[in-house]
Amino acid sequence: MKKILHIALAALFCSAFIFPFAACEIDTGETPGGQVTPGGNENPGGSENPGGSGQEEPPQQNTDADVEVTVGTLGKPDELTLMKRWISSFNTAHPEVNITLTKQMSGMPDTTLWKSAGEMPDIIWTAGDQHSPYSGNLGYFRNLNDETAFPGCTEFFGDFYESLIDSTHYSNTDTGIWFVPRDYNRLVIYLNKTAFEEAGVAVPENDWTWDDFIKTCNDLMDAGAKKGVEWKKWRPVYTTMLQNFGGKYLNDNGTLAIDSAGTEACVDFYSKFYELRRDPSDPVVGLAIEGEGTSFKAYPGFIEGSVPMIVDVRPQLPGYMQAASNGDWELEVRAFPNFTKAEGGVGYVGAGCSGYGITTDCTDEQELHWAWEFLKWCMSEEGYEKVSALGNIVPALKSLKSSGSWREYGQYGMTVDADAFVYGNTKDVFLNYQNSLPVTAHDDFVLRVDDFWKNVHAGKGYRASVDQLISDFGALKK
Amino acid sequence: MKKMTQRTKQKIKNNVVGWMYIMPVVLGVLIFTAFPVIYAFISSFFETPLKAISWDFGEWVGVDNYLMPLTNSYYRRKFFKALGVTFLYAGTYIPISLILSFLLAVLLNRDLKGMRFFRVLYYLPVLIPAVCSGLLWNRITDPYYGVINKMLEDFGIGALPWFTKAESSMPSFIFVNMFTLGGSMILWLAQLKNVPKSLYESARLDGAGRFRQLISITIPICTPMILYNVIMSIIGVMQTYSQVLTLTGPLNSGVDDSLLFYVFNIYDNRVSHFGYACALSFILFAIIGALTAVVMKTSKWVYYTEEG
Repeated sequence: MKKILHIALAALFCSAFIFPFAACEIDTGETPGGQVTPGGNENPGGSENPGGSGQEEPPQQNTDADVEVTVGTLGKPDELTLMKRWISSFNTAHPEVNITLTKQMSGMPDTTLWKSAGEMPDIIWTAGDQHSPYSGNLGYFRNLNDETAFPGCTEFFGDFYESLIDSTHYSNTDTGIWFVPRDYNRLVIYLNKTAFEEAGVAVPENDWTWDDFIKTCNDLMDAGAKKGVEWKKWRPVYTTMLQNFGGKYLNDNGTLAIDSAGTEACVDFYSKFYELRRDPSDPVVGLAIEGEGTSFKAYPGFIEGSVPMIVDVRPQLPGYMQAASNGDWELEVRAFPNFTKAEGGVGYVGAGCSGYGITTDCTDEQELHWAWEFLKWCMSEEGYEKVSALGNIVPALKSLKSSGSWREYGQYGMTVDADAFVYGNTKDVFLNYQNSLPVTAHDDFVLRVDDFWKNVHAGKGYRASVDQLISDFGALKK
Repeated sequence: MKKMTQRTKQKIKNNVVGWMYIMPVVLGVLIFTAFPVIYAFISSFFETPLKAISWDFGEWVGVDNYLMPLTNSYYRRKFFKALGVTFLYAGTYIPISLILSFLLAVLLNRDLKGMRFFRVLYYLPVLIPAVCSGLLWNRITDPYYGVINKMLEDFGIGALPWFTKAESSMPSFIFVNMFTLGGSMILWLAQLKNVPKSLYESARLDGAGRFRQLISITIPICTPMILYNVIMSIIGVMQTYSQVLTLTGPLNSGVDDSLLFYVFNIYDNRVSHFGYACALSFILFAIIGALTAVVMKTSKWVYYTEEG
């Protein structure tokens, strides 16, 4: 009896612990740390401190300086490394001021806690698509589009990509610029060149079309790939695809525009794209796997079981390079395919950014002056040079589109085609689609749109998903 | 005016000293518990976004925030969905976990060599923080790369969808949480140790078998622990949050809101509708209080021994 009990207990023990133990052996090729993505949303599974040490030294401090400017940024390793490098360089060049990193946030709501505690820094990080409740409603940010307070702002902001400046407004009638955009994050397609070669599929060019993309996915799967592409379930991707199919969420006057033939086509596309099995009669069925990079990174060394492409943005480049180096495969990147089809049309791509605003708590004239000078310097050719070795930034300045060391970034003996990140084959999509609504309704509307896509993915179909959004929009508190 | 006696003075002096001893705790409770609760309660009658703490609570809306789950179609849908998910989880997880943890405790209560080792092993998963555990299970249950699906495929059973399908999300969540049975098990063990051996000896003399002893002695004497575990489980389950977040990733409430637990509803509203989020918190407080009261009121089945 005792023996039986012992065996039973041992079996229970094994069943309880085998999975956690076994998990130690899983290698998905992912690295810790997160990244900032087109809209500024955090993106799990990002890269860690590319071009850096992982543990960045504390920045240079000018403790004897008369003026101190405080900074709060996103508490992700890459973000901290970036800011520390900027601070060190700026402080070294300007001993009369001390820029100091005092706060780290996990998300924008943290700024309210800082405000409550009376510890709001002079400069804070913001996501391009999330600032409106804080700039337009709570008044945390200063309007930087003011020559009196911020001399030279007109000329300075004149060099930024228009789509990024658009994202600095909190409504479609607002002309304020509430933060300095930092990076130009367009969706791109990363691809595993080694898998392409093994599959005998030609690596596409930057001027490829949507039809080319679909054909490439099919060719890869015909050669044995598990799926053609890892396609993120992500707001910037949804917005891009909706616009490409001719749909949109809202009209300029704030009325709902979701019920359209364009939306129906987009929903139809999504309802087929992630299918487990392919349908020979429809080339779109079953081409994609959902994920945040796990499948793309976990290349098994041969085409069978691989997912050779992923839709993503520049900040993830160092992480993908690391995964490619670990897995001994070659990485390449291409512009987002132009959504022109056989019958023509215009292609769009989501373009977003993160940035830094100067807070209304920064009232001292000297601090205000240096906060502005610091941000102008960060987003200058010299500033971008200082952080180009991190590899995760495409400068927000048009003048650096085809020059600057950001284009030469590489590690592990690898480089990719920098043109892909700024290639002009498609038009930029405005990601802050909520801007035609009153600012108090922005967050609510975004959540309702998230529900819409959840319904689409749950297989509820176009009519039910749209009707639900119409009903939810009607109940929106504006 | 009446003069204070020496005794009264001494009493006050003693009280002052006593108050000074407990002052750090009292201040902590007042500042970090009482004040936020009162502030949140007042805020629940105002329409306001999340903003810095101040005496400007926003726009007075009376009990509108408490009625919103009934009057606004969007909030009604979310509220009842969240409530349904939470109750479904509570209704299935609590009985299953109570029974399994009890059976595990009975098994581990045997006087066998090496039993302490097994007790420690079964308790260990409880020590893993919920966030870490969630992240770990997120990987283990990955439909494409998770180790469980790999094993199932190797055995020819086929991969399970886990958290990628609405219909399998809740069973998966319950399964994952079964690995924290050690928490209740340890309480059962403590109770089982208190069952007088003489009762079993008497029962054996009367010819009662092991099952009869379990039904007529062990369970009745464990009823106070059953009551305690039920109440604590209700409180814990109604506040389920961190594990779901880490298990399901950015979607956070699962496919088709299949894991939209009540606290997520509070979390989703905390920035834009802070007052409503506060009201939801107090509604949850009332629900937990009501459930606990029902359990307590119907607890005549609990048998208290002479020792209590």
